[in-house]
Amino acid sequence: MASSRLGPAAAAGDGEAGYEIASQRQLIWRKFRRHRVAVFSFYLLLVLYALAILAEFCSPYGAFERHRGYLFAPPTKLHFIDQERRFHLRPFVYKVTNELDMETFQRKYAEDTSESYSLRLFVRGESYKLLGVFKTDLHLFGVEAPGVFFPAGTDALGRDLFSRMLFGARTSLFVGLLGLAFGFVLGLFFGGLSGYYGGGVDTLIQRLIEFLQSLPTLPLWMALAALVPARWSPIQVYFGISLVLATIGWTGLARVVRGKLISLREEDYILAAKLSGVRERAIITRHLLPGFTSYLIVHLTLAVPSMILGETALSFLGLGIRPPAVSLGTLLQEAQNIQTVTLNPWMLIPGGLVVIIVLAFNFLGDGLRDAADPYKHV
Amino acid sequence: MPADDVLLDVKSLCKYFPIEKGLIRRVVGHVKAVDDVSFQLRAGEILGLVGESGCGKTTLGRCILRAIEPTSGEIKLKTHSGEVVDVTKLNKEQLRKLRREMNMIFQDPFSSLSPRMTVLDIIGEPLWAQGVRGKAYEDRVKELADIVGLNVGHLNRYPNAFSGGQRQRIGIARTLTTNPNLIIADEPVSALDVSIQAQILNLLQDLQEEFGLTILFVAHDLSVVEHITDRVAVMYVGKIVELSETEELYLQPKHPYTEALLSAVPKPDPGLKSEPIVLQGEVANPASPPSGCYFHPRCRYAQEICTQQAPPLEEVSPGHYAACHFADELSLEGVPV
Repeated sequence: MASSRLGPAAAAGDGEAGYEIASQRQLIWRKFRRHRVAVFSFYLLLVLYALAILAEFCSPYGAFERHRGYLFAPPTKLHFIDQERRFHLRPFVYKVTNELDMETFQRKYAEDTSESYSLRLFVRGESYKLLGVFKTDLHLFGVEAPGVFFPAGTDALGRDLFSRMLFGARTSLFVGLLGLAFGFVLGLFFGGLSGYYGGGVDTLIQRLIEFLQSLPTLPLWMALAALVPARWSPIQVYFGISLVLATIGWTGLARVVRGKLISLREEDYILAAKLSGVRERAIITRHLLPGFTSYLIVHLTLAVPSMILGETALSFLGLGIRPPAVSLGTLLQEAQNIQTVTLNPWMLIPGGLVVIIVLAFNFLGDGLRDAADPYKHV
Repeated sequence: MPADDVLLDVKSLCKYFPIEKGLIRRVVGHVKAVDDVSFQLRAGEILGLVGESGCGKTTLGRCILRAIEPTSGEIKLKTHSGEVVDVTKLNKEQLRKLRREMNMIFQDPFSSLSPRMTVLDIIGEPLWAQGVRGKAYEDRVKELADIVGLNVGHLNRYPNAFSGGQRQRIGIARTLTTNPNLIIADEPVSALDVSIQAQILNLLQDLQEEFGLTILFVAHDLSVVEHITDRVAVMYVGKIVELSETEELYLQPKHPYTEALLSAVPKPDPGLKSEPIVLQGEVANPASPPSGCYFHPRCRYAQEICTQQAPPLEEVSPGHYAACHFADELSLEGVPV
């Protein structure tokens, strides 16, 4: 009986076996893997986050460790070939000396080729608690004292900029995530209300969003940041800044959620589920939420850089995270004068890191968006 | 009280969509998508519902299932236990329980299947909703897949792996899961290729015979309806204008609109010269329909009375209903079946 009904079309389902039984998620992952730049950005961000989480271990020095003789020292040069033109597989640095130019009162740094220190892995230095638990003094790389190695130079107080960048990246990378988490909850909640119930609730929330979006961002940030009490500890300020960023950041997400819900609500398969007697709650969890998780992930990825830039901008203006706490914004704030640009250009390196992070997130988001687009065949 | 063999009894069903304007959404009028429609469905018959697009046939189908809340009217359905319930009076939970007695086949086989669920879970969804899990659930789905002619080995695949015709089989299997009495088929073949259309129509006919299904078959294509239905209802601007046995309707239409529709059916004979009746003007706007008979501005037999009085749907001959003042007098041309 069944075979008589099996038309020619019914038999034509065979083919590349994996494709048919691949779930939406597997298809997305397959497409994503072909987006080279996005995959590269993904791994780059993984590395950056790992470096930031393990900042104490990965940095040669502590964030506040001062090197008295090395104020505004330029990045230390790594050498492979020594004075006798011999090649060393292990890179090394020469001893760095400096003297004060009595005419310009500038410190001139020079290499003293008589003493060299080779770069080593797992060097002992300032002691710290790894992940806040294990007490140790091992650092991933460095040179033995009394040699110094500053991959990105030092600042006005003789602190290693590279180490400070790792600590700063930790703050900046996670302030983005924390702000996003707040914004995510707000956006999902208001967008969900707006899209699911519609009517008056929808109108009210949409007008609120339009109002928030029509406010100029910077003055609003400044006003909100001014509300953060000056006596708060860096951790509390960090928390406060995340909240400030989230207060404004949720509007975009709320719109995406609302739009997605409205379009999904009209899909035939949602009606089919309803007509099959599926309960409303099950429709939400079985059909609506899975229907836009991929969009949420894409949106969130693309929203991280704006959070990071927001924090950087606020800290740069002195309204966000304040010294002594380190963030990429505070590092750039220290670089905001003419002296830096003319004499100590290495102080601008944290800006480069911001650019890299933002670009990586954008490429990753692009890749995810293309992968989640069911109409795009790679 | 409906007669014994009546499964569905629809009385004065109306669906008016409000037209809202301005910031405060003032209601400035209504679109009468379904306007005072009454008809009966006998158990085990296939009733065709035809009309131009926008005439309210899909809305009518959805109102019966309460996918859209009707504005007023009665929808009486006889359940498996023989009890007659008014679908419009049920609360949410009662309605949810009644869902196993009725279901719908969708027009679009693509948007009606969730791309994120396996075919197994799509077909089994009505059963899942009733709380059935485990082996009983899988066995039933496999049985259904076999019934509609799907390869049982393909059940763990996602809908993207299937063609339009196969997807429609999946959709049909889903409606059969809970053994419903009433199935509303909302243009189930109009999105398919002609060759696939025949397969799906044959499948529906087989299923109807095998399980004694009662189907309200919504379509805009009279040639499709001709083969599968027992009776046909013709809709125009929210109202049923003619209802009769299929053969009689095709041979002896009693309403000028039906005559015009029939004249437009293509004939499978290239030598035959056909002269379709080309209707003048546009379909009436359901937000502001014309006075009297809604069809009069386009009707070539229209007279004075047609502009003033709306004709009721009356029995012209046994089992043949028409809403025309001159149903008895006009001799309209049908088509050979």
